[in-house]
Amino acid sequence: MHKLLARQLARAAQGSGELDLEILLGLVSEAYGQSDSDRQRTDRSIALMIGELEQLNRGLDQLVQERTAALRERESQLQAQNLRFDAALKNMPYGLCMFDGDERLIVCNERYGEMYGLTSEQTKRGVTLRSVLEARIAVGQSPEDADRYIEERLAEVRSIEPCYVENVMRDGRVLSVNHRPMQGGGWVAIHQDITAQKRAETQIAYMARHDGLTGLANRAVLLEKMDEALARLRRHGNRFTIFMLDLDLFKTVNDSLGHPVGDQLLKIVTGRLAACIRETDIVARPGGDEFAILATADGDQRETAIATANRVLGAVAAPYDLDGHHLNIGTSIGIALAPDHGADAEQLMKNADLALYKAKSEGRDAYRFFEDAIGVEVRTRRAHQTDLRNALSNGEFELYYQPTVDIATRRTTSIEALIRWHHPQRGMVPPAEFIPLAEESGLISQIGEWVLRKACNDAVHWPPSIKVSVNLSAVQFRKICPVDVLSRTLAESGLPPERLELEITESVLLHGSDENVETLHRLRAMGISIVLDDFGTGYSSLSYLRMFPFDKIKIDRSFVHELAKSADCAAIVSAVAGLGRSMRIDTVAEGVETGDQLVLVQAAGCIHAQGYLFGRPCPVAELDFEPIAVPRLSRIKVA
Amino acid sequence: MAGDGADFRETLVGADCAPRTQVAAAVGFYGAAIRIGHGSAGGWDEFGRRRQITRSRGNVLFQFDGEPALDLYERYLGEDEARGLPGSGLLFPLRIFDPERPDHDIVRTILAVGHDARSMTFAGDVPEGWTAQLMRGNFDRLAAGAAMAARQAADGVGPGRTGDQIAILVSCIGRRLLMGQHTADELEAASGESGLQVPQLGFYSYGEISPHRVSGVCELHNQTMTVTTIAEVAGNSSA
Repeated sequence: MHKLLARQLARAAQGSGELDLEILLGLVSEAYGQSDSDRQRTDRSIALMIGELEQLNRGLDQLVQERTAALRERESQLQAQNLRFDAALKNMPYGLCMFDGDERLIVCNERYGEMYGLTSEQTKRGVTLRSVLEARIAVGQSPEDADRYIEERLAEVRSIEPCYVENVMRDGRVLSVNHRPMQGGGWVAIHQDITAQKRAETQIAYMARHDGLTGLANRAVLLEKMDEALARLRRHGNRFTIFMLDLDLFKTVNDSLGHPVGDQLLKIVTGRLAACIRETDIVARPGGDEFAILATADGDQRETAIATANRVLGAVAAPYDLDGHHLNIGTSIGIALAPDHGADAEQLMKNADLALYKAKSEGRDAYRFFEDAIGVEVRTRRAHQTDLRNALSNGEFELYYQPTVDIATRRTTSIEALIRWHHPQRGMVPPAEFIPLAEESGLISQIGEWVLRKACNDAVHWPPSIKVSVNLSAVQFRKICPVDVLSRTLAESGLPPERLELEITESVLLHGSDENVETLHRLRAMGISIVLDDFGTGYSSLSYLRMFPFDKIKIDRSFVHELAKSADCAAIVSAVAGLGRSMRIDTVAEGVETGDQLVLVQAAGCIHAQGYLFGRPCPVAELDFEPIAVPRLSRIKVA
Repeated sequence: MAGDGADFRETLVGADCAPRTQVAAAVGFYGAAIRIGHGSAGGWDEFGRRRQITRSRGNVLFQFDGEPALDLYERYLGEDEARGLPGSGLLFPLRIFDPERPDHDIVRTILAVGHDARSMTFAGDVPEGWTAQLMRGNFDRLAAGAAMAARQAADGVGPGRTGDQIAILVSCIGRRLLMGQHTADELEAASGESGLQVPQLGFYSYGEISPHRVSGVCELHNQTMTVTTIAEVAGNSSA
């Protein structure tokens, strides 16, 4: 019996023990009702649940379809992307390869295979890095030690750090490799042909160390080579010598014939210098028209250096034919011996430079060894240059005046202005000492202008019959425009041009003569007299007298001094005086100190005389314009 | 203590006074010889799809998956039984759980419905974002649930007890509504457990309080048979 029915029977029989049928039927009916509700509820909920699940299912179906479509879309996108990626890989100028964490090739492009000359079999997916490296070495790569190279590359990729390496191929190409580790193991490597870049770098490095025109080592390389030579000197006692060279008049060539000719000259000089030295020696071009030679010394260092210097002087002095221009160029050489003249490269260079400076200042086309005295002298000269620069502003210059007289009348015809320098420490400095310095430093223009201005200003107060005479050097002629300066100075001072005489030496006509002659003509046209000074010294070419019609010729004092003792001098003085007379040029005898000399120059035919006999140079305040009485005139027989 | 069946309007408690509302009664036991066992189980079967609680506030549920919660219940109950809401709602208890902790599930039972807001009020919180699933009862499995609760409670006291014991059986009104004349089945199943051959007392409730079977934390349960056993170890009694 069903336990529920048993329970219902039990409840229906309660009380009397009699079965109450009504109660029983009520319970049974209620149970059926409950059962029906329960079944109906269950049916409904199952139906609903099925409906919901079907709906869910439909939703899932749709989702699956959507996802599938999306996946297909994604797949085709990936395919397109892969195609693009492939195209990029194929067309990129670099070789690219990708390895997995087991050092096996995942992918590489064709360029990679081409760069190393590998077959598609050697670069197929899955080959190991080691086998690729071995194939590369077998085909064209040439590391010094193949085994070591392979082990190093393997160690690099295992270190999972980015790294860079350059591979040299047997055909000379240089390939760079950049390794970059990838997330999750493995790495990607980009291989690039950097041969051209390497060549350019080498070229640039060469250019940084060599002169582009001549291909010679530059200053930096020279210092480096000197350091190396010094190291050899210290270790093995190998002495060496530094020559510093400077082409004389190179600037003139450059300015007058143009830079291309100058460049050509430098190239030829380079070739000649190279021929003068041994292969192990070095020619460098530290700058401009400067050359340097670093030569190892054997035997007697000084003797060897002299021999080399003479060879160089001879080689450079040989004539040049530059595009039809025939040139003669000299060179000056300064020599420093290592270790005697310096313990380091800078010192040696400096001392060779000082010796060069000395060689140039003593006359070009010569060599000089460095001596301690040169250093002192050069330092002194530089100090004097500084003083000289200050002298003008400090008013340390003064003009002294020395008269020239008409021998016949004893009257002063002109007075020569002579500069004096009152140095605050050194006292009176003679012009012979400071004028070359002034010319060298360029101060000569300012000093010359000052002299002109002062002389004109002083002369304005003198008797109108007396001229003032001013010296104008060749350097002044070159550096200033005498016409402009003179016309301005004369105008400012109020001195008539006819009262000004300019004394020039033949060197004015020697350099750039055409232009200077033109200038002289213009000055003369202004009314200024032009006097040729110091005639008889130097070349004293008679052609100068033809080049320009001078107003006066001053016969150098050396002839006048020797007049009494030397018949030759007397002959020269009278020849020049005679020449002047016939060319209608007045002659002045310089340096007349005695009455005897005066008699002689008068006898020789000189018109004017200048010298201590008529007055020493003196300040403007002490000038006396009265006729000069010569105290004693003895007759001397002319030999 | 007294309730009002499936009406859920008023409960009364009389403790040292006339029965009234808003009162709680508590009984405490102490002593080293006391042993207490507990068990709580439903035996309900979850069915149908899992739904997300998309709108709720405290213990008031508004929407599952964007659909009014009350619509769902009315559909499942059918027109006739829907009229018996909220009581008839007990036929479909709701299992809810945090999707982050699916094994820590709780069964919620309906206390009230809001026809205007299409809302349902449960005997405990129904947090938004949690997952919910309907449950239904099969008489045999509900009875089996009651037997499991009895077994857990008996085991909780442990072997070796020799003194007096009592078992308190509390079953949910929802179970009784569903089981009707089969209600006796769960009592028989619980009482039939060999460990529970002790004096028993019990009643129907609107919620049961017992430690959770997984977490051990004491909390409110719905739709369960909850059994508590109290035993005294012999020779050391002080209750």
